[in-house]
Amino acid sequence: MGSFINSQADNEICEALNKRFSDNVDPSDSQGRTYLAVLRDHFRNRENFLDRTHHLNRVFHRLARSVTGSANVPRARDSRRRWFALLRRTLPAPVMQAIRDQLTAILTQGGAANPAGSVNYVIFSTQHVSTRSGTFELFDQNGAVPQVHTDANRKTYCAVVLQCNVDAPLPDAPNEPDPPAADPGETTLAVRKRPRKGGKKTKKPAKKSSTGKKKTTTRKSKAKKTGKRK
Amino acid sequence: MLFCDHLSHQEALEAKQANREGLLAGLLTDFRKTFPDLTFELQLDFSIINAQALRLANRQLVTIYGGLALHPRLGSDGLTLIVLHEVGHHLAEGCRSKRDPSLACECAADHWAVTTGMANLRMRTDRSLHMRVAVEELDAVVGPRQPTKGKYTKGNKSSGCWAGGWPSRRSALLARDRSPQRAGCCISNI
Repeated sequence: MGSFINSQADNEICEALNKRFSDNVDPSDSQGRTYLAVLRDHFRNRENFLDRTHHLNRVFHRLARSVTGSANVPRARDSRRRWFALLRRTLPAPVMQAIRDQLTAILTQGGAANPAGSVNYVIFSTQHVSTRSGTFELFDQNGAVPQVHTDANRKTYCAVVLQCNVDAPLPDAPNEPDPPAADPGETTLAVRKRPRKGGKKTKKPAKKSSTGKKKTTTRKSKAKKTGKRK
Repeated sequence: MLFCDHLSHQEALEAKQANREGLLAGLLTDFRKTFPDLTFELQLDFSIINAQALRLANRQLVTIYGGLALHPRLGSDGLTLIVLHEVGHHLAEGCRSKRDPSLACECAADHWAVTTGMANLRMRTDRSLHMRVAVEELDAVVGPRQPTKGKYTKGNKSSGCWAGGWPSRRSALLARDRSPQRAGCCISNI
């Protein structure tokens, strides 16, 4: 999605999802796999986080934090609550099911029967358009199978597009649980650790016990203290 | 687009009464003639103040929403620049958007709009774009929604990206000769 005016919360949401489903190498993965490959592995072997026991607001929260480290998405609390409310209760049931179905297809084993399972990356976007149902829809008409495209670099990708038929801002949701309550059976998604400012801190060696030795001042450290420079 | 600003009903009504729809029809005719491979859509029923480039089902879409199309502070030049920018997302080469790698990044789209895009439009349709007028119109619309400081971007001054704040973007649009980076767009929200 390219838009003329940046919309902060929209961009944060799409970017977090795009990164989680991208072919960028996941820096926290010891095997050097892509974000999408790591997520597929998690989904297939550890936790089906798209089944009916999992809630989409919680799933989004976990996916987003697995790429930001600890920051919530969107950063603005009001926008975040509005977004969580949309995922938890505003979206019609067929849209929620289509989201589960399309993402499941992308994360399950790929092959001739399921080309989405082999795509290199996924793009998430929103579009305002009149829909047949007159409300939200997941492109195309809440279908369960995402369309597979090929980009200019011969990479395959899926576009997951939430279509919105409503011409109104998302309603405020001041009482929306934030963060969403945990779902049963959650296993930890690999989380990228945020790099510390100023690089990696090394552990300082333990201080030697004072034996009454006098500190010797070198010429260099003396110059440093007095602010002299050569 | 779920969190975009909306144009008031009153403003939209005034624009419709002022024959804005005639202006928009002419604009889209010229763009369709110049860029026949793209699909241009006018969504006047949606009051979002924005426009969008999107690849969907093998179609290259450019959508102008009602909030921008009917905005009382925008005239022909401002709208032409906006649509050229969206076309630039599809047709510009170089740096890709982090949000959608199938599209050019913001700077590449801007630069393409005011160089190649503008030239193509003039050649095929005689429609000219007065850059200073366009930028002045956009001052009132984009400026308040795209503040200067780091709200929209992570600081990465070395990349040369100008799309983070309206003042830097405005300067780059007017200068035209400043080409964008080939890679490493700094627009990043997470």
